[in-house]
Amino acid sequence: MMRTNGAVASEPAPAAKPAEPGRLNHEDRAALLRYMAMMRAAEERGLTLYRQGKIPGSFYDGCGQEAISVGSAFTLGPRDRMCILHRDLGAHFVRGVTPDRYLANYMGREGGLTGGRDGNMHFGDRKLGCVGMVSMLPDMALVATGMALAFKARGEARVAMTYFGEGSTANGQWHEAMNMAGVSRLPVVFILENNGFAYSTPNELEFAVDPVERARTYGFPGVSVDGNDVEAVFEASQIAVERAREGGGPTLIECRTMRMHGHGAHDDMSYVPEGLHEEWAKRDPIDLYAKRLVAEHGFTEDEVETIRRDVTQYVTECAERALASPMPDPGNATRGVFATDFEPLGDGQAPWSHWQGRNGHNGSRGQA
Amino acid sequence: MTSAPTKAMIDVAMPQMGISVSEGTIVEWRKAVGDQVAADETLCEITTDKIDVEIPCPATGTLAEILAEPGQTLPVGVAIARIDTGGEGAAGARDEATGDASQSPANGPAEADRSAFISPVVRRIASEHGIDVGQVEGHGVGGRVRKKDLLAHLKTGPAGSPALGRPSRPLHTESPYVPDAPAPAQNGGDARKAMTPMRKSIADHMVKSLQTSAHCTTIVEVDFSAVAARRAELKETYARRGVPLTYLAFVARAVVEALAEFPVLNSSVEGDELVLHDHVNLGIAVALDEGLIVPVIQDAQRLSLEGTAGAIADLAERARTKKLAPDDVQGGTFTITNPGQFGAVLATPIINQPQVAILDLEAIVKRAVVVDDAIAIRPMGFLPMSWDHRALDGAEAARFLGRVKERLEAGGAS
Amino acid sequence: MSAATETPKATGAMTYLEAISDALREEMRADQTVICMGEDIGAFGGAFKVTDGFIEEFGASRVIDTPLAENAIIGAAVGAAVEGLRPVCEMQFADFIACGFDQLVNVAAKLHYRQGVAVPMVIRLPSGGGFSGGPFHSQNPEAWLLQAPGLKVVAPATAADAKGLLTSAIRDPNPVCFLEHKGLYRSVKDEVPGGEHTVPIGKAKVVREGSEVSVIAYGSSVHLALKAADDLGGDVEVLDLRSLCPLDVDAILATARKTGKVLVAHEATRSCGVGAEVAALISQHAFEDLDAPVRRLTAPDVPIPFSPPLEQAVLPQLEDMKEALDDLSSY
Repeated sequence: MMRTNGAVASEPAPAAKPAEPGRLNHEDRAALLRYMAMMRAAEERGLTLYRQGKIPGSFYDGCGQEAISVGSAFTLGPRDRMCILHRDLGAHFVRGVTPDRYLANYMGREGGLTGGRDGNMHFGDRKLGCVGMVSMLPDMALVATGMALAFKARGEARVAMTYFGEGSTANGQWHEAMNMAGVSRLPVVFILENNGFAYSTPNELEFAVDPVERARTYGFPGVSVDGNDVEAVFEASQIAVERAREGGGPTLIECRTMRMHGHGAHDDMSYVPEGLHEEWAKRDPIDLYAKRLVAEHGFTEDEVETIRRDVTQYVTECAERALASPMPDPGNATRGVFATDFEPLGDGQAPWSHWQGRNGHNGSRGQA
Repeated sequence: MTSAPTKAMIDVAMPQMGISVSEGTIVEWRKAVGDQVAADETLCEITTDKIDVEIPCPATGTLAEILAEPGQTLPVGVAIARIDTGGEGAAGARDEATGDASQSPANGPAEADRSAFISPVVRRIASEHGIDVGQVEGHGVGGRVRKKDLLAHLKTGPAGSPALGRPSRPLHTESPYVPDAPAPAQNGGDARKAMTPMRKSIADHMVKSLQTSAHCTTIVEVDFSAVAARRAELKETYARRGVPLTYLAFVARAVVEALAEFPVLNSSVEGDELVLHDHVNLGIAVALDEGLIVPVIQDAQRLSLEGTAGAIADLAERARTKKLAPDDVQGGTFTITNPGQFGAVLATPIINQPQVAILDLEAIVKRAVVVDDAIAIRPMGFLPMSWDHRALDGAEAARFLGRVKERLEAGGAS
Repeated sequence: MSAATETPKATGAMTYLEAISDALREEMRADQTVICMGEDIGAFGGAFKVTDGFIEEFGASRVIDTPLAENAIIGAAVGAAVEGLRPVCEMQFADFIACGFDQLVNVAAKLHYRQGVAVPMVIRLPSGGGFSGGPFHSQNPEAWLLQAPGLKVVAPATAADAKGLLTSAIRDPNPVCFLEHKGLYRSVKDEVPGGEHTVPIGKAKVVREGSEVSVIAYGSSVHLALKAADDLGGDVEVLDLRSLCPLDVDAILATARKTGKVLVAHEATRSCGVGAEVAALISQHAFEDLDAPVRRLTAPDVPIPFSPPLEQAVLPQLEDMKEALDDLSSY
């Protein structure tokens, strides 16, 4: 059955278990809201800076898709690893990156995560266990597969998580990653962000078969969830991560959503059909979640407001810090092509309560 | 014993059974010498890297020769047998490789004269040693001087070991070479001035010459009045023919004639041997702005006075206009210099290696001398000659000089 | 002659192929993080038998038979490397690096410069022609690799250097492309130190001293140069580059200054190859020492043809080397 991004009536995720009560406590839920809001606020600030001419090159954001990166990244433990893409800023924040470093990177400042070496979302804090993306999509799916290969080779109960858009699923390297992961039952979770458009190319020109169905042909499950429901994303990710950790192999999670801004700030989105944006604006993931927290999880309006206001304030302070960061020294432009030493990737933050008091251990199996 | 492949005889070569395989081992022959063999029929079995392979015969004919025994290992491509096809035979030789050569040879006709081309390294080394590349024999493409040629030239020159045909280099102490203006004194103390490459070269050669030869100097004094008179007679006639007649020409002619009687003065010392040259290649020192050069009159013994004068003038002219060819400065056997033109009356010149003597024409000055027990005013000039005591003794040197004096005082006849 | 025989601990003569196996085996024994990845390398022992016996000794988790997917091999190796393994990937033929090129030059090569993330991995590339392999099994692709800053590239010519450089490559924290010329696998045999043996990356070696002409070469061309020099009885110096990135510029300039006449020789095609880079360096830094223009002996800009007479017309032959040396000497 040919599906687009969920503009058609949304269907329940096949093979997804119902959410268990007590998995997410009050603080966890607050955190989910906060990280989504942080992503929104940081990207809005970035867009403003871009329009003010302070950002060279291009500007990309994941407006409307915040639930996907936040919900999925939230499941990971400190020793898990990520390959994060350009609409997944929330994942960086969950792992511990602060908005000032993100904004400084966009502005090409010394204090940015790459020190000016690479721009926009092509960053990953190696100290937090993230390998940053390249422009060629979906190359990072293979790198994540490789990390999973290392975990399996060493018998570690660790997971690699990687993101890509539905357009990437047309690319040979995506298929190579899926195939290799499936053949070797590697502990990698593939997050497919199906937002309806690959730049201007709609799904019907991108593939003939819904990509989530391809997972089966590579030997592992594919599930589909509402990408604007942060807890649905969380649940599906949790199941996938647990399966991987227990040696069950990979999972493909399709998160259906809508890209609310252009491919980049330079894109006026004139190709989007009438009314689609308005439809999806009603399903803004942050607004929806804020309402749900109040309606179903014992939050007060005030609490929710405070969270959002504090985040905005925090992002403003971060922006100041980023603006104060100097431009990089041109004399350093040719340095660092080669490494003199190998340094392993560091561990990321794991704010989910499940990981508190575990001192960063993932309960590694059979490994010293 | 083994036959060579001909048109009718073709080689069976050890095949390459695998990309990186470089040899094979004969396991067994399925045919014997003299057997009839058909194309594609199995000839033998070989093994390479654990793979056993049957080798089919390449042509129909008779198995003429087996060149490898079972158990023998041979490289890929080497002949292991020969088949006599009895007819025209398959081509044994490889086709000529066609297509682009992997590297085209140097462009340009090799015959073109490239003797004037000086490569960067030759220019640099020549300049460091103060050598005129034009004086070096070049064996490169088009006759150019290669680095190798220059280095060889350097090796034999200053070392002093005689080698005929080596270009001579100015070694005379009386060289009118004008040194650079001294550097301005610093702090009123001693001025320091770095030696130019040419200065260094001359210094080197001077010292080496003194270390090589056993230098002595013998001097005679010559009455030039007869020469003066003769010169007055002939000057205009020669001038009409474009030949300037100088005192130097008379001296040169007298020297050349005397050398015929005293060949030891026209020789070189090589180890324990004295090489007596049968030609007189007379070097005439020419003063230049920047130094001294000694072009050579080859075969000076065949020239008349006029010829000698003409040759001297020509060489001097070409030296000053830098038109000397490498041949012009090579092969000298005796050197004459003329520092007298600057007013000096006596000197002790240093021999121009690998020669054994060098003769000065000092200034000709009117002096009061005793002739027939009366005072006469005569144009007198000293002829100091430095000579190598290894090759001859003082008596010989004196006798030679006496002969030269004699000829000059007779008017430098012929 | 099997490549999988136990190698002696003391110094002994080994083929180029045996030396590569030996280096890999020694490192895998000494360091548990070293793994091999490639097509047909496990159960089959490798297309050229380099890893013959490895899966039996080290197991399938360290000797991985991958799917037919070069980008996957290299990309997954990047992931494994950043996570602390030391993968040694094999492209079955160097030509197939083109199929994994994206991961190699865009991911592996640039990660450290962009993010300070070291990628300690080796890509083994069986290269070279001379056996009718045709256009897709005979290439020498080093020039492509030298245009991707962040990759180190080595190309040994002797068995001893093959072992030494592979060991160094495995221990280097950067992606290293290891060009092993297939034609040398069994035809080159020399003394190789037993046990641990490293050759520094970035250092060339004078393998024949001379004072009249220099040949600067690597891989198969080194042997061509040595043979030609011996046959001609010439005063020829041969410098084996061994590493292409980093290049040993000091050694290159030293030999150029010594003789003043340089021939750069490589089997790879001419334009913009290593020869062009070496010639430019010499002309820039040793101009005053040159007695002749720097010459190159290479394959022309042509895909490597299949049929033997065509292939031999394209790949530099012994006669070509002799002619080039003669020309240069008499210039």
